[in-house]
Amino acid sequence: MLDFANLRIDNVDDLVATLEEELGGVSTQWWNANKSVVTGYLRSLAEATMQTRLALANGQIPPEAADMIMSNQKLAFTQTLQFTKFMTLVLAQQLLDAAFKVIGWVIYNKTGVNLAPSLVQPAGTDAS
Amino acid sequence: MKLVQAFRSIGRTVGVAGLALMLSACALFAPPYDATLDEKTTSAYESVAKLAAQAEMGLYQDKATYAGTVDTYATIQGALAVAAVRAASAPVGGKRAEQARDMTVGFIKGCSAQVSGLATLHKTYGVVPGTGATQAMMVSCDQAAKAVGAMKNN
Repeated sequence: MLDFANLRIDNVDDLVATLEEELGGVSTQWWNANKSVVTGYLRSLAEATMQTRLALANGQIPPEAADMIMSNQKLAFTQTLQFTKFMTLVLAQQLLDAAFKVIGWVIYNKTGVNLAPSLVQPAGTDAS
Repeated sequence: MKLVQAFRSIGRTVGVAGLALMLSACALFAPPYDATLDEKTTSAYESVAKLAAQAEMGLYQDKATYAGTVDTYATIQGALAVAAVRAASAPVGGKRAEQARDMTVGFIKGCSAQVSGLATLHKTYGVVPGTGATQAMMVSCDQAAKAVGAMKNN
């Protein structure tokens, strides 16, 4: 984890290197946390679909009920596709926040001016 | 170029206030985390999960049980409606964040639609366990909860 409070950067090359490392870390962390989320949803819906078809075949539920259930499953699948798009926007925001956090700390450590109070929170100050 | 020189140059051009605004107005791709919204959505999702568990345990196999469960459905729907209104009011700083906000509202409403779907199935035919009746609702509502909590660590 980057030691923001003691971040001392005096040239563009060092800033770029720090940004690359931090953003790479954010991306990896996000990917590790979310790579199986959508797969999990799809598996759950696939299992549900098989259960419904089997239940219909066995006469456990009438065709009209099966139709209702599968209609709900289709909606959930469509929403899952939307969810994948949403998560890319979340990742983009997290990368943006990570970049501005580094820049904000570099400026704060050099000048004492906090230009990103929601991201730069020195010890002993209130979170904004 | 030395960074200090770069920042001084930027500062002269933009002004400190302008730069602060630039750095702080960062909800460009997704709205900021809302702890209250997260709490409300999670609470509603937990009620949904309980409903699903009861259904899969066979409590609602007989459609006659619907009358005694209407209040449960109504309570969940009320909680989701409140969450949707709150989610729709999240501050955003750009078109993409607006899109993400609208998607979040969509997920909450999608969860609500699934609860309605289960209610209709329950009322009309009863909910037979192991027939795939509850997973769609759980997936949709899980997505709503995840979407609301997505920016939590930022």
